[in-house]
Amino acid sequence: MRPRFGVTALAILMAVIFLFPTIVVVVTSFGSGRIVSFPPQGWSLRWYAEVFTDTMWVQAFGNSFAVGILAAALAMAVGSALAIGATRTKIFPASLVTGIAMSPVVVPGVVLSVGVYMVAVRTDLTGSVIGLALAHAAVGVPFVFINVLARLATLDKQIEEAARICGADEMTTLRTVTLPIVAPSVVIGGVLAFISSWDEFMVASFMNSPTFRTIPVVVWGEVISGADPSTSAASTLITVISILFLALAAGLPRLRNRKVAP
Amino acid sequence: MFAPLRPVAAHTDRRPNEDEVTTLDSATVPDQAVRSKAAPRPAWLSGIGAFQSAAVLYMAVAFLLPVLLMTIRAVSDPQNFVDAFSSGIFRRSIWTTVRMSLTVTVVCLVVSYPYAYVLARARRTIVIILATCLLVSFWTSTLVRTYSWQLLLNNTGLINTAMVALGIVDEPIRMMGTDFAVYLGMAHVLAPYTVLTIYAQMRAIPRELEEAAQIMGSRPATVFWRVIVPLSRPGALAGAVLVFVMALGFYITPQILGSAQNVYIGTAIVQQVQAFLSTDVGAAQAVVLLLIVLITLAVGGKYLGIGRILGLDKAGQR
Amino acid sequence: MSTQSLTRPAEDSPATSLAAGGSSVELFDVVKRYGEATAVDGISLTIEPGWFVTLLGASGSGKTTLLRMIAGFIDPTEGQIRIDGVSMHGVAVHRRGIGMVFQNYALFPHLNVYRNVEYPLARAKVPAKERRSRIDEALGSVRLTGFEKRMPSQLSGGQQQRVALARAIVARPRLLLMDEPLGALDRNLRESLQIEIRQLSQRLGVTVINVTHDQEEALTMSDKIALLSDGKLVQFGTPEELYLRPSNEIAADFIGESNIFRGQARAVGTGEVAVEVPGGRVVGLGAGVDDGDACLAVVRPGDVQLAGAGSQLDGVSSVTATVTDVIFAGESRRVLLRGADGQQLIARVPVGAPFDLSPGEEVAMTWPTAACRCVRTSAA
Repeated sequence: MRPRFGVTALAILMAVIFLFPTIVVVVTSFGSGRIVSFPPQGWSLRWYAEVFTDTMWVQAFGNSFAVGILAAALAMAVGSALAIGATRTKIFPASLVTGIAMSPVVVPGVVLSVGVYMVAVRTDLTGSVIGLALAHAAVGVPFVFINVLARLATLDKQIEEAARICGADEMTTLRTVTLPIVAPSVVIGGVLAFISSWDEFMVASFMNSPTFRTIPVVVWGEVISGADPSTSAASTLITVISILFLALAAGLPRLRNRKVAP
Repeated sequence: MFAPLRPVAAHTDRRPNEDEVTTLDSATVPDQAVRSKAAPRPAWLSGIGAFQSAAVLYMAVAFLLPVLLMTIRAVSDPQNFVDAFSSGIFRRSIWTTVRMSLTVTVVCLVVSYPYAYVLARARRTIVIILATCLLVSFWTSTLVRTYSWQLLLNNTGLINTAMVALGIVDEPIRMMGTDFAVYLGMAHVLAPYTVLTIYAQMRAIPRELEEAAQIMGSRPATVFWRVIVPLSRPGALAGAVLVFVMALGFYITPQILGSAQNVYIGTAIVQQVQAFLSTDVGAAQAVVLLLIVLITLAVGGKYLGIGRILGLDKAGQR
Repeated sequence: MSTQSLTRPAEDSPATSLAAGGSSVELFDVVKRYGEATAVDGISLTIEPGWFVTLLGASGSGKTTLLRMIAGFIDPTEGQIRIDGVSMHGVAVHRRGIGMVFQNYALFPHLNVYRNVEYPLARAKVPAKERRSRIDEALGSVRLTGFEKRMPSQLSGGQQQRVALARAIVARPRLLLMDEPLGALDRNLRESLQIEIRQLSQRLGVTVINVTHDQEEALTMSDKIALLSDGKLVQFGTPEELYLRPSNEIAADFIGESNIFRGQARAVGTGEVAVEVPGGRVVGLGAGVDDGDACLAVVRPGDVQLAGAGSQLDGVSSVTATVTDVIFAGESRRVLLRGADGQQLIARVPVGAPFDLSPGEEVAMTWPTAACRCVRTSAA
């Protein structure tokens, strides 16, 4: 049964509302005036030039990148170890492992922030890439965990048994069979973990220092104190980079298949 | 793990060693003595177990420990909770947060049903438009979108300018700093979650059911209310619980778009820690927020299953 | 691909270097319990080197559990498994040196055909220059030369199964396990692969333990069949023995269609037993039956002769029954009958033979004495 015209029209209107804020940010970033206005009075790339030359923005982008990459790498390792462990060993009950892996989804960012802040202050980890990446990695773990778990659920256990009978010990099986098969899911989870770190504001704001601020923290400061079009330019860059990474991750399995076809 | 009983050397045909074969008396049946002599490493330290142990340890130290220490710190002195609740801002913020989160959840459900339905049943081109808009929005960060709403809802923003120009209103109406702005901004962030859960559930409804209902004389509206809505209800409720819980922990949107009177719990906590520098009282308030979230999840999980709420049942569908 | 002939005469093949001889496998009172449930209930079995043995049984008979214990994926609760005289207790799967073909082929989806077959060689650290020739030979022996670069997803079911077979034999195992290897294939392909696998295993001299629930497959391929039921070994023997001389009702029932009569032994001669059954008297071969024993007589439908009222048959056995239905089945007619005590009986009459029976008619069933086997029903 096709939806009726009225319902479809309503849905398309909502789709426009969904997309509109993103468009507004992108369009205002190309404005020429000092004041953010939509639609802009004139067009220019000057605000991008400013973002690329202002050390505040450049450093913030650098910090966010470093934190995001480190957090994503850690989340990929921890998340896939938890997912593989939950389905392949019985050392810890699977429900316990699942609970631990998914707990970051349940705990609000504000709550985690206060906790991390209280620990970080005592361990001197505030204001550092490492400190924030350690926390962001934990927040990114569920993304990797869910994706790898879903792949493992559809993976025939006989394939790993075949490796064992072919003479591979447990670790060799993991390295030569299980990991290569789940690798695309690990990467997709890693990209989602990167984006979650890249966008994360709450913990980052508690962990910031005058010399260490990530992009969302800087944007927040601008929004609170009155933004200029460079805020739009930075926001556009944040969004474009997120979506670019996602598109790459989504295209990855197809790319792999094409590579192996004759 | 097993240690090798039979040292199969790296020769290629992997046959058993002949001396070993002859040393075994074929008459003795179950031969427990023929075991490895070396004590095997414990399971949690060998192979996959070691990786899993390390991963569990990581989550314990980097995630659970901070939350746990914060809780212990808050609970160790009951005065923290007395101080927390003596703050009128905090007491009001609890009611504000729950009330506004519930409203946002209802808004999300209402918006998501038609959207998910069209997404599940419409022509390909329309589905692509709807999916693209939804996903681009979904992957634009909350902060960026909130910033955008700020631009749009201003007295001099596009919406007011347009309304004045079109003669709908005589002068700009104030939208920033109102509950309406918060509902709009939060629903915009959270509705994609309900759309996706409802969509997943609708996709699982066989089209034949709708056709059967139509053949038996139901009008399209009746089919929607009598077939689609009941069958997608579990997904919708699970999505609603998830959205409600996420709404409880919001900070950015109410802080930027909302009023100074209707303050969220998140704002109250941040204020305690960052402005009043009373971290322990903030921790106590954070424990209260965490409790509200956990109780909600426990109740929701009891009826709907926690796996369904967190999207584990259909893992990877995102 | 699936229609071409897969078999080639063994004489054509060169003396293969894949041959490694076969292992002996011994099971001593092997038991596997899962909590209260007993999957395998004290099975003892000796398999000589080079035998092709089929573990045959319905689902839940314990055949797959037994195979997985031999492979090492699960440990027996009690008892011992020996391969070439060596206890497998505590020997990890990857050190058993076994080849195995899985039900769903279990090819590595991320590796092409060449890499799949190379996998066991890489694990055994076979020198790189030797691998090429051994992979070529293994793929040649399953007639898949030229498929090296294909991914598993680009192969048909039959081709995937032959890659799995090549992977299982390339490391020259002396024992090859097969877990319902042909279950997922269509009938024609299954039959040609049965012959192909049989010939390959003979050429290699490898010991094969094959699991199936398909009695036809078991009869076609095996040197010996181990019939399992409820975790117990019912009968272990050649296909002929199981078919012609089922040792009890379970075996008679499982292998082929059969008529089973129950009664008391009345006259016992040298190797012959006469059994009094409802509706007549059955005479068959039987040893170890004493006068008065409760007895079971088994006759295959193809051996039964039918005579309408009045006409005389020369067999010493004679059981009256009523024709209930006649079904034309190509080469023969299946005649369904109801015995004196209401039990269902079957006769199979060649289409060429004169036939004038119709439902409702009362007939006498008989058969050559040598075609009937009488077994004492044990205390059970």
